[in-house]
Amino acid sequence: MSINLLIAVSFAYVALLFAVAFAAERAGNRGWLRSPIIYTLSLSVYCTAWTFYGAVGYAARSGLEFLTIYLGPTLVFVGWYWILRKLVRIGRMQRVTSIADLISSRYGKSNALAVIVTMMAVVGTTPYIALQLQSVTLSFQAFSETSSGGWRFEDLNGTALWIAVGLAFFTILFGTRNLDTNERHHGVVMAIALEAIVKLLALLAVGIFVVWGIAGGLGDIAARMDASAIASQKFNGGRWVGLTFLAATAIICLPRMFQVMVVENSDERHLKTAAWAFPLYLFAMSLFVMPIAVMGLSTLPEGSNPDLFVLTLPLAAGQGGLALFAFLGGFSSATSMVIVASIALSTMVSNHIMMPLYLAYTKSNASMSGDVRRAILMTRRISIGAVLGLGYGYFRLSGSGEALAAIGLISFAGVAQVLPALIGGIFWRGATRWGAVAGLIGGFTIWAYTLFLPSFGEGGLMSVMFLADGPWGIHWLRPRALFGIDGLDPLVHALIWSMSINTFLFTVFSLVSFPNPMERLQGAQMVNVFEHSIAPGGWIGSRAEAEDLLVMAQRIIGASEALKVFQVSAQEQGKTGALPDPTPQFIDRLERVLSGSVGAATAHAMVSQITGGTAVSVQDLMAVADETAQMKEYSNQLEAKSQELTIIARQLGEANDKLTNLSVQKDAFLSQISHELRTPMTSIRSFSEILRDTSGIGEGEITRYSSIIHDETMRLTRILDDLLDISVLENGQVVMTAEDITLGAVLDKVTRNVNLGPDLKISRQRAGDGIVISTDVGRLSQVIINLITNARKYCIAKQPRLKIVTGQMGDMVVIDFIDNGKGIPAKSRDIIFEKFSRLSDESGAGSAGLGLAICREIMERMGGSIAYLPGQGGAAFRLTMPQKMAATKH
Amino acid sequence: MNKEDRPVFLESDGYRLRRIVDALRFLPFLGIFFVVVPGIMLSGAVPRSLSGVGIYFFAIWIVLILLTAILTRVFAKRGKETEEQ
Repeated sequence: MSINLLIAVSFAYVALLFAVAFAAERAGNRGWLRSPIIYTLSLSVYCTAWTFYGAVGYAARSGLEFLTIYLGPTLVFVGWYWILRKLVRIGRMQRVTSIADLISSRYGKSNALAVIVTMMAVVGTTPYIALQLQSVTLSFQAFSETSSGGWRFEDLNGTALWIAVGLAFFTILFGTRNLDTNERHHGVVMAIALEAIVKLLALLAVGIFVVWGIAGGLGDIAARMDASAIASQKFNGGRWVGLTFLAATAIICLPRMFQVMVVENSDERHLKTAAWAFPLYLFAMSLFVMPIAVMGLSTLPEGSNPDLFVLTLPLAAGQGGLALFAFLGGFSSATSMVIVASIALSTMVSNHIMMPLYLAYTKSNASMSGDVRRAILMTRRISIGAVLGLGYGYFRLSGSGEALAAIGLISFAGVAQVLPALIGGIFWRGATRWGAVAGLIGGFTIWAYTLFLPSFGEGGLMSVMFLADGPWGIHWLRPRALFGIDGLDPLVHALIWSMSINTFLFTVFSLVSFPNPMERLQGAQMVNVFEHSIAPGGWIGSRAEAEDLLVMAQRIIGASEALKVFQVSAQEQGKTGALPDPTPQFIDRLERVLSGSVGAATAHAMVSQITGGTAVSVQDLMAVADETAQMKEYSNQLEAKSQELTIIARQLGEANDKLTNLSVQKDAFLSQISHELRTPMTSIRSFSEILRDTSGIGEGEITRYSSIIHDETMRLTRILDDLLDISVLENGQVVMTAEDITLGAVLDKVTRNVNLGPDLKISRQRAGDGIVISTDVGRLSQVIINLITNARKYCIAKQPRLKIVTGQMGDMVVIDFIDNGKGIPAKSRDIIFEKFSRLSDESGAGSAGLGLAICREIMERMGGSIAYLPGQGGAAFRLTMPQKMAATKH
Repeated sequence: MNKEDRPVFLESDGYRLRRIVDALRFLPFLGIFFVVVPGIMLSGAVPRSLSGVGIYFFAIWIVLILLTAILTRVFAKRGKETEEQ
């Protein structure tokens, strides 16, 4: 048996695994690849090299006790209706990616909790990976001892390193090819299934050879068994019960078991087959363990390593081919465990530790999905490398075979600490985050203190003194006899204390703490998972689904766009039609396209409604509600804006009407003003011509003509003054000087000086005459004069009267001018304060229609206003101004 | 099949299905009893015949597997029929 041949066969076998994994990835969703048999076989990652080689060693040392490692899981699977059914349903419903994810998700998506579980899983699994590396290395060594020529495997470390690197390569290649939302790896699962068959057949072949080839049949084996040294051992009931419990716990809590059982599960119904088929597999795996152990003990030389009987028995009998087969079986056991465990651990490490850190450091926007996806894959790869690196490191550190032999059970006890939080979480709605944290940390600490740290041997991590007398000589804190309870098997001792303290803390902290709403929702979702979900069948893509998806997509992103997306995907899948297979990748892409239109959560909910792969979770609903709220908010804003626009449009319409009106007024004014200017000009010209050309005009006539010319010039000047005045006021070039005066004084002065004409009578109401105001008296007088003049000119009552009322309104001083004329028609009130506005040209002579415009300008300059007061019987104007004039602006 | 033609035994079908579920639930306790109790009884003693004890456990094991297989299959079949109706 050449060692070179062994290496060549190993490589060929690995190449075969590659081919199988690759083909399975390519085949995608074909029916038989997702059969319950494949599922059952993938569960066999439970049987590691520790099982393949170690079970025989275990049996040779401790007799039938090795059975507990298989009876425990058998009991769990026989009772699948209780726990596994629920776990698998929850896993599918919540799209759980790992056991840490499940725990975190149950307790309100707490990442801290996920980190704790991940750390525990890494600590618990690393020694186990080291164990696999060791077993493969030892099996190489066993061959090299009997082989002639070729390589020598003196350097165990080197061999282990190469194996670790190779496994990391394979795992990265098939474990992180794509980022499946459901974390499923068809290729890896197929390879694992193949390895499951190889290891079972290998062990059966060795067993059959041993029983009927070396020994003389079953009777002979039974006789040898009863005669062997094992038969004289006492049966340890405590360990029997403890180990059965431990193994039952491990099948639920081991990260790799959770990975294949829950995460990789593609159809819930597969569990119904696995419920009996997996125990049957375990049964077959352990059937020949005892015979091989007994025959190894009785035929091989004293001191042979019982852990390698599976290899050394055929080798000693000269059966090179069979030994090679056995080697492949052991190799399969080790590699499948390492691959699945590192995928499971890397998922946890990258999802719960590295990604949060990455996102926190890069502060990148999570919606840049392309970048984040690449980053996730990268962290997965790094994590796989790190996990295997840790395993190798542990292998180098612990070195000796004796320390590793017990590691399997220590690992089990470590991951078992997750059990209370897990089972409590899915059966008890009252379980809370604080309970889970307390239980996990408490249980894990006790485990580390009583089992893990002492496992490095006396004088390892704990000194001999420490182990014998406890820390600082405190007797009841001895790691192997906590609270003074002595004489127990260390494993059972650690198991009892860690599990009971764990459960106690979990219960008490759950009872006293109060869960947040998310926790309570998730708790209700998981505990009552069967009431909230319809039984999802297998996620098997069908044409109907693709068509439904297309119909839906068309509705959202439009027909042509949807068709394009579908056609591109179909082409990438190598199909000629327009409908691609609804593979996870395609659905992923579609979801992303849709989420561009309707938001991620809605897109997910819509797609899963059609694919039915997962029911809508509370989280989804909450996200949908959020989005809906946002949309509602947005539409409210739009509504408000459109109302605003309506108002503005109305205002604009009004302004336009006013402008049109003004423009008409202006045109009218232009003809008016030219007329106004022309009239005095004409008389000036004609009278000056008369004065120039006519001789012999009497003295009296000269005086008369001259005064006409003078009057007309004055009129022209007044018009021009008004024009100038408004222009100055409008440009803000006017300077106002404030002086203190009472209202009454201003009015008195004005009414004394103004030309009231023959008829107009003024009556005063002097309520506010005493108010002292600080204002530009000249300008204010100008306004008042203007108003009085207007009344004189336009009030057409027979006995025109003007009532002037003074008063105060809040901070403002008010003067009302009310005449007894016919007032101003409502339609004209808007424009009387505009320039050049004149309501009619009757008796309008001498005015340019600028008076009220000038008044308004002045009042505004003073910080007040002028307004028309309707409903006073005649034309009424109100001046409003502050008691103290606003500072003049330039 | 209209309402009148439905078998009177429809009720009993549902009843039977529930009892099968009960049996499925009971199974692990049966297993625990037959695996754990002998373990405790044997505790501290040297078994008279190691091969005999071994054969006992393997026998219990295969019986458990068979019972699970039968009950699960019946459950799956009946469950499907009930759903279809």
